[in-house]
Amino acid sequence: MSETLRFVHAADLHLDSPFQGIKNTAPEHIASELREATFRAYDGIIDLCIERGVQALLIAGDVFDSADRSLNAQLRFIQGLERLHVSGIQSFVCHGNHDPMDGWTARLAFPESCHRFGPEIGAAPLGPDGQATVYGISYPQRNVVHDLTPDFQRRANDGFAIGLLHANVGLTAHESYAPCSLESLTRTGIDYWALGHVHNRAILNRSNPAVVYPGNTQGRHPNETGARGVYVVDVDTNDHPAIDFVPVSTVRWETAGICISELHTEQDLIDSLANVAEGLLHNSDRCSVVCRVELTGRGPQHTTLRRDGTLDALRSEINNHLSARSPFLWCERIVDRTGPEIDRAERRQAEDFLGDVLKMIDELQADPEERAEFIQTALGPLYSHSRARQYFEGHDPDAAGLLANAENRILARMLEIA
Amino acid sequence: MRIERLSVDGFGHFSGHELGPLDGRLVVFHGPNEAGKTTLLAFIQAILFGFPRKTDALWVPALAGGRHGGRIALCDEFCAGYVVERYQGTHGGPVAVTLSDGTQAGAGRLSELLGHASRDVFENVFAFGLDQLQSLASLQGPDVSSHIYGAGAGTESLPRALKELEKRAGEIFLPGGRNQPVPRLLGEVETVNGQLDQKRADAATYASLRQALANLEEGSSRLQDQTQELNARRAHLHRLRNAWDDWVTLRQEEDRLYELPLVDSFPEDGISRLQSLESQIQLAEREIRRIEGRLDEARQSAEGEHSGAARYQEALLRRQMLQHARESWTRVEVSGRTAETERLGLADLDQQHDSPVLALVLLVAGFAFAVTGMVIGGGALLVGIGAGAMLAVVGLYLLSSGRQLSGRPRREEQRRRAEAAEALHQRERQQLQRWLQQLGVFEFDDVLLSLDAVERDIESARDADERHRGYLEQAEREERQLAERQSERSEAQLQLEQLLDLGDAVDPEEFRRRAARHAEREAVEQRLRGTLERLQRVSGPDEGWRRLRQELESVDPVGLDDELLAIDTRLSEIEGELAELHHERGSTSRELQRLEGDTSAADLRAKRQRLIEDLRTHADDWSGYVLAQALLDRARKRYEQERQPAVIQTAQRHLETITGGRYTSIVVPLDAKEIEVVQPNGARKRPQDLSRGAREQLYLALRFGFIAEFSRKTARLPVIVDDILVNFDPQRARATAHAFVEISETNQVIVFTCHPSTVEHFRAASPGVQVVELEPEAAVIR
Repeated sequence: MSETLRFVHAADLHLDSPFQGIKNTAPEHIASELREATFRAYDGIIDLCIERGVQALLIAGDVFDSADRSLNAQLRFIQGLERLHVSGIQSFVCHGNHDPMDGWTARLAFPESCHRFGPEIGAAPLGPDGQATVYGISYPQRNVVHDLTPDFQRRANDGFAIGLLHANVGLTAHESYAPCSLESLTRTGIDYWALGHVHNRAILNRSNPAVVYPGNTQGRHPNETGARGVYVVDVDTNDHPAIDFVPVSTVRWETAGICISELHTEQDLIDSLANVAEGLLHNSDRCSVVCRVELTGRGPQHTTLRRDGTLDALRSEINNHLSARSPFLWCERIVDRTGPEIDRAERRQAEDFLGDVLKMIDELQADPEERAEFIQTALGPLYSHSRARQYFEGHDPDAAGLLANAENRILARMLEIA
Repeated sequence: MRIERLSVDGFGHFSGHELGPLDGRLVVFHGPNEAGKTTLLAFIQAILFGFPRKTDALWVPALAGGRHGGRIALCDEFCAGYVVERYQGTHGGPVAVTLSDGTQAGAGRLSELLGHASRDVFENVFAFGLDQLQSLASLQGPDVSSHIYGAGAGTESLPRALKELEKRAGEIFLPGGRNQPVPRLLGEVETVNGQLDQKRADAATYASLRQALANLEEGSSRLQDQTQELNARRAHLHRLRNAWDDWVTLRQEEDRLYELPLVDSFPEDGISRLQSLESQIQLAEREIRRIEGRLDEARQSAEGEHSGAARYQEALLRRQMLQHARESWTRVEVSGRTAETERLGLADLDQQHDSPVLALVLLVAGFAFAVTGMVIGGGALLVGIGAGAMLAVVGLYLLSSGRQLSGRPRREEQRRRAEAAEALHQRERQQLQRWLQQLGVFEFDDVLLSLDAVERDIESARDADERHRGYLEQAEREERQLAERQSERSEAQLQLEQLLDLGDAVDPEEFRRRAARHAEREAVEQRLRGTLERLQRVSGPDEGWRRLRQELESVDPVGLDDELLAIDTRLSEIEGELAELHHERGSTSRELQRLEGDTSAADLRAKRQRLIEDLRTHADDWSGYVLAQALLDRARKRYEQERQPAVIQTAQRHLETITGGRYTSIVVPLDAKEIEVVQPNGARKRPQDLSRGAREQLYLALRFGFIAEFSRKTARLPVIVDDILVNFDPQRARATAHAFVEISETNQVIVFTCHPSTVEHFRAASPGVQVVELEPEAAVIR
């Protein structure tokens, strides 16, 4: 390759998809910020491409959630590509499990400089002189469960060869779409694998070939914490890629935990929450923050927390203080996992019913299989409810936590009543 | 644990009372009503577990004075002594535990002594009166077993806890319920789902709307094309119709032209040219005739003057000849004199003498000639003057040059000159002779005379000659004119011939006939041209006209109008259709724009996520309550399974003893909440089916079971009962007393009764029983 090459690698835009895990209604200015967040991140990518003068933007699938059929998402996506087109920047797009080809509205016109890969493997030149070649393939429909990498084979005169693919490398927790392995990726002779699907960014291999997940561009879930963005890739004359992360998300998800064992008064609790929240906002690189705080441990404030309305009051305390700022911090929820201030080990020894209960809980915790069966049976009426069960798919509360929570409720009642 | 002594400082009507030592394992307190049995039971409970609230049924004030409270002396399993002292105060009153060696221990030690049993456990299992025994009956139903087992476990709060957990869970979700948060949220999610389905349908609609818009645009442009075609056709048809009259004319003229004889070619402006030529010829002939007349006249007039003119001419001729003769005579004279002079000059030279005489002679002679000429007049005058002048000049010359000529050359020269002059003179004489001969005269004088006569003749014939000459000149002019006119006429005639040739006619008459035919044809052709021009103005030349002509040949004017009408109808239809399409396009575009700009789906999705999260949070909350319930239930079942056999076995053994073998066993089905008793014949009875006494005996037996179980596992607490045998028949009362005696082997038994029969039953069952008589004012230890 005679000239250096620069491109932006993005994936999993999930344009116009809502934030998940939020049960409380946010104030309008925050709600609108969250609603716009995926678009702002996308606009940020387009701005970045133009500012950095890259040759191309590569998007490795899941542009939007086709289940939503969001026209807005599709139209604004194309608007961004139009901006690139006007600036003479090429774009390459492949589609994944969330935005398979059959999920796109017909009759939308993509700009000329945008290459959308079809359901068969395709190759397209990058740059006016064909400095690089981009190979790619799109999911024709949602379920593609076979390895697509054998279709990728670089040719001698490709220049720098890039593979654009929405796929699952190795065994991860993610639903296994187009599963493949580092070995199968390496066999293709591709120089840079621009992958998508996994929401947390990861460089699986730096070069020969580079295997890169940029992660999603905007965290939309309590588990998707921290900065989210894209990789700016500079390929030098020796075909060596320098991979640089650039955040584009405007709102960050953060979680924090506070142990109440040392908090003696309610004011201690409030102060501790305020400190944690301020800390999160301070370290957010000028991004707004949506946070969830988890209270753990045993302590005197457990009883305070058990009072109806306490958690909401604490949340308001933080939000009144920080949600009106710019950038804002909005505490979405405070989760109470605290327990009463007792010596559990000692109480467990008592030869009585409560002692029996505690001993039995410990036995269950030690036998996950039994525990799972126990929980499944107990929660069946709701979790197997014909209308409700679909909403619990993917909602797997930690079993140990559930039992611990139940135990706290038992203790609270049995001890209180006693 | 055993109670050894009760020291009541102030409790009810007891004040400063000591009861004890209670050394036996079985103690019966006997006394009449109001002796204080129930008060003592309350005292024991208050000291061991704390004073109850003042509102509690067991609250007993210190009616007889003394400090409200007191002490109980105990000994444990190993006979170590303790004194538990408690007085009324906050939190049930402060307790002090003093060991026999005087050391103090806290409430913890007391709790240990009590096997961590709560007041409730103690009240329900170990220390009870008839009320408590009967109140168990009211706990039939779902709570019975848990109450019993709970009592046995020391937490009869289980049913309440279960109830509350169930209530809280039910407040969130209840299978079949409608008003809880979960079904409410489900309903809301489903509503939003419906709205989102609509939005998704919108997206699908979008694609079809885009397609529809494209179709509408295509349809619209197709109709516009059609309109254009129809308009073109319409214009064309209008042209045809407008051309129709011309076309008909064209056809007629063409037919007429076809019928007209052919005149190949005809000179342009033939008739006028013919007429012009004819009139030219006529004019020329008229002129010729007139000129000829004038010519004849002039000729005749000239003839009349001819003789006079001839005379005049002759006279002139003669005069001329006469004048010639006269001149000739002069020249003879001059030349004679010159010759004479020269001869004389030669003679002079011969004398070497120059003489001016000759010059003078010449001068005089010249002068004389001049005078002579003047005298003669006319030509002679001129000759005379000329000769005179010449002689005079020669004379003068000679006078001036005479001196220069000298010598011999001069002489020779002079001689040649004299000879030449002589020769000249001779020629002149001859010439004169010829003139005279011609004139027929002989003498020179006659010449002069003739001259006069001729002059007179000339004078008389001069006018005639002039007239003659005038007529001749006139005739000459007329001849010239005549020739011109004749030439003109010939020219015109020639042209006329040519014109006739051009008109292919032999004579003007034929020429005129042909001209008329030609003009008619011309007129037709001109009309044809005009018509054709108009038609071609419509069609264009050449190919266009060819096509139009073809079309006109085949067209039917009626059909043309029909088609025009059809086109106009179709055009107005299309106009309507286009308006409709335009309207549809507008509404489709607006709908597309609305769909493109619709962001409400994002809000709906966010709302849906929020509702689902709320649903999940509620589910987690519900799960907490339900799991707590399930855990308690599971623990209880296990408790029932693992601990029931011992409790039940002990209980049914006691029941069998008490009832004298009427009921042989107790059954607690695992899934049922009810206890059943079984008779030897296998018949089963539920507690509510038993008589009051039998039911109390069942509950008592069950308590015995729990007491045994608790004592075995935890601590052997004293069993304190308050007149519980009242509903028992004597036989069962005795049997019951035996059962208590059996229990007293492990647990201290304290019986309060006001019935002497009860005392007797215990005495009969256990002769060594310690009986304490209670008086209303004081207890007496027997």
